Amino acid sequence: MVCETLSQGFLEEFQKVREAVALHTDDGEVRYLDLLELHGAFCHQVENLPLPSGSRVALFAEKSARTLALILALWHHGHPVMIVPAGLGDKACDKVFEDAAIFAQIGLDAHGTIEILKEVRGKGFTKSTDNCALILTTSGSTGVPKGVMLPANALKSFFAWAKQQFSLVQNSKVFSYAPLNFDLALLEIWTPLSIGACSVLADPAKGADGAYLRALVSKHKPDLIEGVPLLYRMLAETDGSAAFKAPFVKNVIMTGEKFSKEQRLQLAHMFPKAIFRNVYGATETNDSLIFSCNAEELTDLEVMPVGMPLPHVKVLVEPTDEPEADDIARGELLVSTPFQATGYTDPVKTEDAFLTRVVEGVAQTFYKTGDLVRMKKNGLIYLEGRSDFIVKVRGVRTNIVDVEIALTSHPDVEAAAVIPLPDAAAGTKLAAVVQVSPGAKLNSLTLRSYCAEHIPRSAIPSLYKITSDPLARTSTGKPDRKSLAGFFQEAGETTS
Amino acid sequence: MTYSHEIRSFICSELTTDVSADEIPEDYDLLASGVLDSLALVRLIAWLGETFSLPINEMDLAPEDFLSVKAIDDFILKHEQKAVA
Repeated sequence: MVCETLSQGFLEEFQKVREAVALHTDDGEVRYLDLLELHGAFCHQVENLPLPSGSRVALFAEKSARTLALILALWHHGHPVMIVPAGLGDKACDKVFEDAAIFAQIGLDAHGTIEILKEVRGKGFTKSTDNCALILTTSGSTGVPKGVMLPANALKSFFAWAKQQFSLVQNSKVFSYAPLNFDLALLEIWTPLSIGACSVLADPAKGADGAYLRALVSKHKPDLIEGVPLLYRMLAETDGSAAFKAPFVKNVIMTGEKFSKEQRLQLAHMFPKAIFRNVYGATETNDSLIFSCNAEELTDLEVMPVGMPLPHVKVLVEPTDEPEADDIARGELLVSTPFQATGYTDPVKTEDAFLTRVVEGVAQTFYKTGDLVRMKKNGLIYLEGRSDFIVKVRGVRTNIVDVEIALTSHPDVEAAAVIPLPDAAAGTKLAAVVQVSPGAKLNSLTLRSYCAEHIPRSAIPSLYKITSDPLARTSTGKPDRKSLAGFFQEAGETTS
Repeated sequence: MTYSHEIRSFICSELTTDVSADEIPEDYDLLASGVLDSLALVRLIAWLGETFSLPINEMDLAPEDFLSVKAIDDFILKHEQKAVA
């Protein structure tokens, strides 16, 4: 019954604002009454599908009004929904569907008719005892995504928090850059829909087109923008005209990765009147920590903290390193949030990452984030990096993300990924795959010299693969380090 | 006489395999850029001793001697003459 109440909450809100615009898409505006109409038509179709009661259904992420209405219709009929990244391969789909106990994968044809694409009957598909409403995927280390099960009450708590935190009201507009299968869509699309506000949908297929994104922001003037560094980099690109400015944006959410000081300066110029929020979270827990500041503070900060826990969020820092003078603790971050998943679709993975800890006499489930942090005496938490991204090169502690940021800051470098490789002499050596701008004349010598100006000598990669092709990425858009490491295995130590 | 070509060939065949010998500038800082890390330095010195018959074990070596292709070339020329004398 839980999916039904979730859907009910949305529909009641939609009824109140029937004439208002729910979505701006490249095909025009979609009003709430359009969504209600689509929802009604899909409900009728879902009723007639051969789906067992409460069975889980998977669909590919298509960022459109019809997919959103279809998800609401599935919830309305008590079916939890798994949203799969567009383009996920057949084999990976089979594995994920099996683990997630998916009964069927469905899709929409050109006329908006629901089709059953594959009857999966994943193990235990008949069980509908938990309160899972939405299953999102997150990239797994083996290349097969992990299914993250989000209960309806966690989603509702998240919508309520986001509404209050970002002062969202019915006439707010939220910019949506992320694809529908990303956890970011919960804030960018589902939260505005939950309160009758508006979401401006950027087409993920045009996500690398700066001119398109700038035009979309200028046209719709959203109050809130959320993005990873890539989005802001696209917006900041100048196309020969004056620098892009969006003084109407009230909230700028920075998430996903570390923002360099240079990137923060760019943000402050683009959004002079905004409050900036560095938000830390994972698909498993949703937003967990927040740091807010204005444009001036944003550019003054040497290092930007990830801030403090949100209301009702508990954090633990399990020590891995000796704290320094102004630290309370230094180690791996564990969080427990009101928005968190009940676990992965694979129970073995759940056991590894969702741990019970007793805090103030109460046993609670914490998510082991894999991130190393420092908690300072003023209560602020600073991210040091992924525990698996911090390596020792000739005994020197090195964060490979810092090396990537240094390489990417070169004007002729489009993207860079750094891969730690085992090395008999050095313990670990660093290999860099660098995507350069078309026509750029860079070789390992110029990149080494550039690195030498920005990072310690021990952090300068010893192997380079320089290419003009885009880097291989995982289903969630992060560099696929495992696949990229292949450049250095076949050729031994060769670079080219 | 200069050994600049031999030195560059050694560097690009052993250490920076994505560049060709003539792409390495004479004054490129091999130390700051990490091309010559401590392990590579040991390999370079062994190669210098063997190739140019320099009595490496009897010499006082300083990092500045290996700062660049030019510095290494000067180092060989200086010690080669001594070795001949």
